[in-house]
Amino acid sequence: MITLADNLGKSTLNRYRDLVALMVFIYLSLRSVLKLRVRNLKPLIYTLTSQIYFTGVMAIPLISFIALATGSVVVIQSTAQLSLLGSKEIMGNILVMTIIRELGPILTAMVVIARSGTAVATELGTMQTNHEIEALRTMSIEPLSYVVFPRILGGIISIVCLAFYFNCVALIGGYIVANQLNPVSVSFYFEVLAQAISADDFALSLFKNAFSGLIIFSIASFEGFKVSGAPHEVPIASTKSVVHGIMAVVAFNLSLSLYIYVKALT
Amino acid sequence: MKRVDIKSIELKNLGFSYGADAVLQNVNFIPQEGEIYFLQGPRGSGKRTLLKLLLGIHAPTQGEYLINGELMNHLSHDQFDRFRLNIGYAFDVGGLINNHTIYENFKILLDYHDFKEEEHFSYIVSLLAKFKIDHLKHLRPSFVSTGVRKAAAILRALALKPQVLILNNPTQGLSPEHVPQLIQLIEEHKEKHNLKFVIIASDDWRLCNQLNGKIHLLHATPTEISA
Repeated sequence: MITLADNLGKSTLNRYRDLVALMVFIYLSLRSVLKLRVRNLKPLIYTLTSQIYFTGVMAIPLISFIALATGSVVVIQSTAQLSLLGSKEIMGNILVMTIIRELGPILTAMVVIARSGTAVATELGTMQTNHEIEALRTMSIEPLSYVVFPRILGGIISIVCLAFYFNCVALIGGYIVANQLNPVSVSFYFEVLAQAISADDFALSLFKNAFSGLIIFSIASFEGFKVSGAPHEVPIASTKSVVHGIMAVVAFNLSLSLYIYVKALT
Repeated sequence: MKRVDIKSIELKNLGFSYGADAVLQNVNFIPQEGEIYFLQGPRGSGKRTLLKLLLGIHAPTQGEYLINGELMNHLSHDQFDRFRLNIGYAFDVGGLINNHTIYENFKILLDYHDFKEEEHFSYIVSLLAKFKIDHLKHLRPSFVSTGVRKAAAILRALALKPQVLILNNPTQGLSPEHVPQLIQLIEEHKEKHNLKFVIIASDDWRLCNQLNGKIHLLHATPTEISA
């Protein structure tokens, strides 16, 4: 029993230490960039644009597929159920609640974790084993500013754009697909949708996605950086970045949704 | 950032430990300007650690590391930058950035430190041409041979025309035809580009003789002997 409690305590302490170390890591990355002069930012742009291309542009086919499937299912189910209840007017609210506020951010984050979180952790882990990170230090190039910060920023920009794209494809494409099975007039569909969407929904979606991006790419970079030199640590870092990334993103999205729900009730 | 002119390097009773394991103890090394030093010693005698101490990657845990009489022990990594920009370093294995081409591996150094003048960029091309690898400059390191990678890593150490050159096992993995060019390049940098201190960790006696190098022996620490 004591051993169990002891292990539990140690595990909690380790997680707490990791969380503090992650926060310090994010702070140092930001500080390293703030210390650079504007003209020295040029090499960072290359890493930033590469990250946006890989995380944002290259994920479009997969995001399109998932958004179309999700949108279709949600539109079909909501129109069918609400027709039975005779309250089709609230369809807009349901779509906004489920797609823009909840499913858009979480599904986009999952795709980004699976594609880019693993890639970043693996790439940085491999860079550690090949002495590339150390080589940057020997050239007085701060890896946190050159390698980490552009990846975090590129990840945030990509995930925000991808989530916006997800919402558009899910709502428009979902309607087109669903309309084949359960016809709803275009004017009615977009009218109820326009009535339901508010600036708050976009603000919430933007906040959720931006913060998820920060979480995903900070964790992935942090895990990659923790590789101490042995190649077998690279897949471990990659796995950890996925597991910790999913847990953190789901916990954050859940907490924020609960907070907004409770706040709306009071 | 402005580079500091390096006039002298002194290591006095220098020591370094990884936790409780002492890797270096009481190292006294004062390289003289114009001389080429070969660090030699048994495996685990701390040659690579000493090179990292000289580069300011590690801080000594005992003794003094002085450049121009200024104590380096407590300088942060950033504070050491003004000295490090005048120190060229090449790893024994690896060190090139794999998602950059050979040329970009040099260019990043110039871009990051804001060396804008065209002469720096043309100098890089001339360095690559001396080793006859300039036609491979737009390839990534994984697409060229080990010998080319090694040559590129050594040439990158010379890209900013440093006053201190530190090489770790330069001939290990280097194509035999590049060795005379390496010797010629070091001599040329000493004569024309103000290269003052050359420190090489290598057991290559031929290279040592060809460069007229002085040997500095490192001894295994008591921890390693008992292990």
